[in-house]
Amino acid sequence: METEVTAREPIIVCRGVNKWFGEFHVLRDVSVEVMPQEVVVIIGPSGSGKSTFIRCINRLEEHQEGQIIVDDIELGHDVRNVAAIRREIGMVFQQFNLFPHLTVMQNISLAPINVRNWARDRAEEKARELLKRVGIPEQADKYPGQLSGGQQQRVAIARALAMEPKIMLFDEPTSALDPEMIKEVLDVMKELARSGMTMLVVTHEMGFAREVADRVLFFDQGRIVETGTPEHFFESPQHPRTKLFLSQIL
Amino acid sequence: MAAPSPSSQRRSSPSNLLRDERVLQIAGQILFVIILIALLYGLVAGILTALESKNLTPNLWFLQTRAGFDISERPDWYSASSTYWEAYVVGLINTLRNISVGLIAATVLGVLVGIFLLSTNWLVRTISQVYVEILRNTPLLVQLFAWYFIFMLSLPTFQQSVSLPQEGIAIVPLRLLIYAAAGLWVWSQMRRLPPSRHRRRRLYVWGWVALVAAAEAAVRLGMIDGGSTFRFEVQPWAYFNIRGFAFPEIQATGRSADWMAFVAVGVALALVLWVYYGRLKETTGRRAPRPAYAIAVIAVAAVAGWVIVSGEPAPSTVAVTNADGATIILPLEEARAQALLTPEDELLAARDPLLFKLPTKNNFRYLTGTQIFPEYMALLLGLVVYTSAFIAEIVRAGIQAVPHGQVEAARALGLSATDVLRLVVLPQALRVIIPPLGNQYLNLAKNSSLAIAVAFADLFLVTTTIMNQSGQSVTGMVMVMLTYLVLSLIIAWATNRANSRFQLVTR
Amino acid sequence: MTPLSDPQPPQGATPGGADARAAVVYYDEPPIKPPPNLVAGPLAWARDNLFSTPTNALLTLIAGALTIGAVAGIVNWAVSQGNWYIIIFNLRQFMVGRYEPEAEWRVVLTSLIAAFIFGFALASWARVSRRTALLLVALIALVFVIPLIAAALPLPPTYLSASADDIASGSSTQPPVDQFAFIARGGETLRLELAVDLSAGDADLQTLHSFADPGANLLRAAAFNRLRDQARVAEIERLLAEDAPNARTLTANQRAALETERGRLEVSDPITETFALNQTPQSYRLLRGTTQEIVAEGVLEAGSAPVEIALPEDGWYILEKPGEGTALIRVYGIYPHLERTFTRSETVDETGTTTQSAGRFSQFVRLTDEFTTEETRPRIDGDNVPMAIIIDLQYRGDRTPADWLMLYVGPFLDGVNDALLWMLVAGVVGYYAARAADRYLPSKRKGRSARAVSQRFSTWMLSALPFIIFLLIYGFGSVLPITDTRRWGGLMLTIMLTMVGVLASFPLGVLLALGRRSALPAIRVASTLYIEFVRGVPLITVLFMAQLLVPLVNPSLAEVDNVFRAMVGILLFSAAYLAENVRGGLQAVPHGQEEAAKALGLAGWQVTLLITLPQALRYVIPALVGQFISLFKDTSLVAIVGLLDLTGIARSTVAQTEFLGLYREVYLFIGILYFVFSYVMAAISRRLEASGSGAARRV
Repeated sequence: METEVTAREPIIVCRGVNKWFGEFHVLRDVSVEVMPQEVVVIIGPSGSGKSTFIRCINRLEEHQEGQIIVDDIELGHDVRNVAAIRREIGMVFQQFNLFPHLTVMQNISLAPINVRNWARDRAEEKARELLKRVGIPEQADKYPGQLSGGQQQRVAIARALAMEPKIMLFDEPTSALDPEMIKEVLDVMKELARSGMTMLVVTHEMGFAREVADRVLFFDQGRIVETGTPEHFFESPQHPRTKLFLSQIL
Repeated sequence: MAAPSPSSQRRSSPSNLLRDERVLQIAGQILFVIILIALLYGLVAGILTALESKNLTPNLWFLQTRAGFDISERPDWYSASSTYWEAYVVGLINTLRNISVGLIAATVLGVLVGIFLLSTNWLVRTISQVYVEILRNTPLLVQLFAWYFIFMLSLPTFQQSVSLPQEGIAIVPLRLLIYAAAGLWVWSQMRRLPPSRHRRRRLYVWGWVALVAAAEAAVRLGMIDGGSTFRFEVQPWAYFNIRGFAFPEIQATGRSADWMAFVAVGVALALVLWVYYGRLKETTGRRAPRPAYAIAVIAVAAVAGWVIVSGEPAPSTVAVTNADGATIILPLEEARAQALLTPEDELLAARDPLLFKLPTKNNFRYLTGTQIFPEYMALLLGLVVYTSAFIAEIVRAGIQAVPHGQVEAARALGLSATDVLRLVVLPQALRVIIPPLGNQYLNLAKNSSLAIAVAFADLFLVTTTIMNQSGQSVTGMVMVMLTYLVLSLIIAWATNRANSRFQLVTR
Repeated sequence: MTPLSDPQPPQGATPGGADARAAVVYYDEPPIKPPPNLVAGPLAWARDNLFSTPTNALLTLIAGALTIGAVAGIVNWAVSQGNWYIIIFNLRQFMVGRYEPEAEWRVVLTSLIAAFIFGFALASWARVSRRTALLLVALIALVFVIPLIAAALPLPPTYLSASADDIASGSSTQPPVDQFAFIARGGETLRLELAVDLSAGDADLQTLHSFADPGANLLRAAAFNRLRDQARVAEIERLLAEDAPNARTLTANQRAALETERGRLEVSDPITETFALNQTPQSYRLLRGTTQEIVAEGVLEAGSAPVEIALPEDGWYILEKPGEGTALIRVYGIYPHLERTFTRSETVDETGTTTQSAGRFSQFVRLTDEFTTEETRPRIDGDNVPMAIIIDLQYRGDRTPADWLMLYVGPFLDGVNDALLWMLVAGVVGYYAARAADRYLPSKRKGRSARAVSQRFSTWMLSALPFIIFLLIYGFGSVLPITDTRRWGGLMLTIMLTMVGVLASFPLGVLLALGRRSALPAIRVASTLYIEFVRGVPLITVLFMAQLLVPLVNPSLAEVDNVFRAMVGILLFSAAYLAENVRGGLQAVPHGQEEAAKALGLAGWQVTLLITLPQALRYVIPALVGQFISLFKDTSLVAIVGLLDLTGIARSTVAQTEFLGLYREVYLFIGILYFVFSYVMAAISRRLEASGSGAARRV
């Protein structure tokens, strides 16, 4: 079912997505379309639902109303759809979530071997290639605990890329890092964006958003308040909530 | 999780149904339950057929048949002609007694050893560590055997009982009072010293010691007369021997209820005072020694009640059964003289509200006193000592879990040592201590079933006897298991309650 | 650099090459003084740790007195009273029960393999310091040296009585024993003499301490009792005399009791005089047990030199000592023995006419050196001759440390030292094998710890060890014949039950733990119910239930023997506790791990198998060791359902007629065994916990 995706057809479509945590309405009528190769940066105050939103896209969270269609497959209770979508979406977490009992190499090759059923040699070759790409080829046989935070996050990116995903989700990838390590991770992400990956990035790094994003979404209280190009968004925000937020962080 | 879930699934076709995770989950669970039920049914059916073929179909009717065996520790209403059900109840009572007494004693001993484990005294600490390690690393069953076969069976014979304190005449020289008075005076002087002259304290203490030593030496050498002595008879309060342990018995007489009423009034008054002074402390900040007041009030009520109640005139006559079997009314003194009074009559006629009877014995049996059988004693000792080692370790860990900074902070605020312990350390330590402590209580309850090792008639042993006699072994074992399950659930529930209270209070 | 302790002023240049630029030079260093007021040293330590406050001082004194009293009491009893033959002669039972002797090599092999693997594992995770190694070598040397010393010491004599009439004292009497049978080795010499040193007076007689027959013992006890009574009478009279009306020191009760006691005690004439001990010459005759031919005969007289008789061959002998007066004979060469009865499975049917004796035969073992004979015990005129069986010929009186060493410690160590040595050798080989593996086998991965290779090996070996043990002990297929589990016993059974309990319950325990955390309510509820039910009932009820139910479930299971039934019970019980431990481990794995795995597209079972469980199990290792320890202790309950594990064997040995009621020796011994095993495991567990056991790699 590999269809050639053209630039006109969105790869992610969200229509009227609603989600509740118990009584709390986390996502309110979120509708977004993401084109292939687009880099979308999502910003907003904490608790605004931006993380929940991108976690819905690979169904780490279930939405209760509305539609999420990724790569022409609708996310629902269908187990095969979920599995298929997760194969196509890579995700990078705030806390890296590397598997501490496995070496870097095993971390990266785990999913290709067990999900894509690749031969071990092929998976390891791919892993080495990716490690070179994220700039730490020499760390392959170490355990995650022996690496610095920045290195760990780069391994996490490599791990996600090893599945050759069409889309990458980043959930505050730099928030748990020391300041001097943020740059090395952002550099990798910029390189990834330049290579044409479709990316959804939740972040507080405004510099990154300004430089790389094709579009910025501003979330507040579970809804999209404002959206636009970075220039538009940072130079002339329209909504008062956006203005307030920007005035507080800039 | 009442999440609104309207018809968002627009594309649910029949072919998709088999791939819908919700359908799969429900189907899986149904399958699981079916397999489980089938398995259980197979097991139970197999067991039932096997039992039926042996003519032992489980039922509960056997509980109404005559037990026909006696139980060494039993309430008065049980005899060999009672039913199996009554035997089971006696076993349950004995088990409950083991557990409740064991819980309290193990906690007290465990906390004590736990404190010893933290002692600054190296010897005490080391001995406690050895105690804990030995007890934790050997099986309880072996310990029970050791208590019973080694400790209990090597106690002296009944005739040569160890008595505590030893019977005899104690001679206390009156000059000891003078020494004590001098000591009190020195102490009061010492307290008056200003902090700048605290070094003087040593001088006072040594001065007193020197005086006492000199006086004693002079008396011993015959240089001065030692003065008169005070002597009194000491009666044993407890006997230890191969037949167990005997200690004083407290008997309620006909006047107990009256006296208890006085005590109750005292307790009520004490409560009122307690609450009153509590309020006073909160509103005005004035502090009162509440425990002292409460104890004093209760003591005064008890003593006054005792005096008043025992001062009531005794009934002059009593109804007794004479030698011919006829009931006659006689003056009390006369009835006593004719030895017509039963022990119950004596109790009814006694002037004191409570009779306190020291254990007495002749060469063959105890005449008065409460006695504990060696089986029960071995079991209790085994359970308590074993569990205390675990509790000690829990208490130590709990207290050590409170960071030292807490103590330092409390001291820096100027709290006294007891207040540091009471207000800062204990509440935090208890939070750590209670969950594992509850676990140990559970273990103790379950371990009490090892009474079978020393042939103490608890629930388990009684039921195995019933099982052997009636043939209803499966039913009997299920009854025992369910009983222990209920006991465990009660203890777990109580622990959870205590735990949640402490978690709430401290957060 | 000047050493700090050097009191002399520094010579030459000041440190740091300061001579080139030196402007100021301090020639007098501040002197190094001893700390004021005893800050260091043993005295200061005692002051700080034992006598810091008056309360502490009091506690120290009380605790010290109690400890010294308790330890001295136990040691004194163990040396001078305990009958340790019960341990020495049942050692095999304590270790393996009635395990088939022809399969015993498997136990040996198992222990050697286990020792090797433990040595290997030790080297891969820790290092043995030189001091520990030396200590170990010294201990092993001691274990070999003590039996040598013990063997060099002369054995204590045996005292036999001879009398014309019954020996009577108090309420007990002993009829005269004119003939006394014993076993001995050919070539040994028997030395006989009248024990005149003991018969000089009661004070001497009561010091008798050696093997003695009941008659001799009665004489000793009579002398002892007489002297004790004498002292007691004097004491009572003193107390009563002091209790004059003007200085009452006794209650009326006490006085009455003392007077009764005084009335009861009557001090007889000295025992040695009453019995005219060793006053008359004593004739003797030594017969060969089987043929009753005379080996030697003669008369023993007070003061004459000891008689020495060389014994011609192995087997039974009879010493005849017809009573004329009363005599106490000291004999070197007669020692107690015990009788072991065996049933031979393949007996020669033609010979055995009586059904009772068919296939049964007795073996007589001398306790002091395990000399064994199968000659039948001698009979004279159709009657069995009284013999030197251990019940009759016990050690009497207080034992001396030398006798203790020679009679018990030596033989005991002699029995175990070979096994200990070989296990140590296996352990040392394992230790160096691990070090060699690390040095010579290259690690594939760079940047890993220097011991990665041996650690991987030892993990594998430790995991395989239980299976090796089980297969070796139980047997498999046609290679090793299956052993009869009903004959399993002792420490071996205890360890087997524990291993099965922890390892065989592993799959069920992990499933239950996963079930309890499942999102599916039916599975969660079922698992929770099982776990809570089992944890709420005592193990003994589960064991009973297993004994009752296993044969009923299916007719094909009716023949399953007790050991397997107990294993089923322990397995079901242990699984619930294991499930709770594993659940704890699962809870310790951060939720992000599962999310990350899911985000990578791993299926649910893959997430559990590849990500969650491996991490959870690492967390759980210390708890597992803890469970192993508690199960190791709890398996003792199988003794109640009739299995002969270590505790069960203990219960059966104290019922042996030779050693009836020797509870202290037996329970002390098995207590020590249990303690050593649990304590060592607990120490390992503590080290695992301290090292973080794999959690060290955690992010």
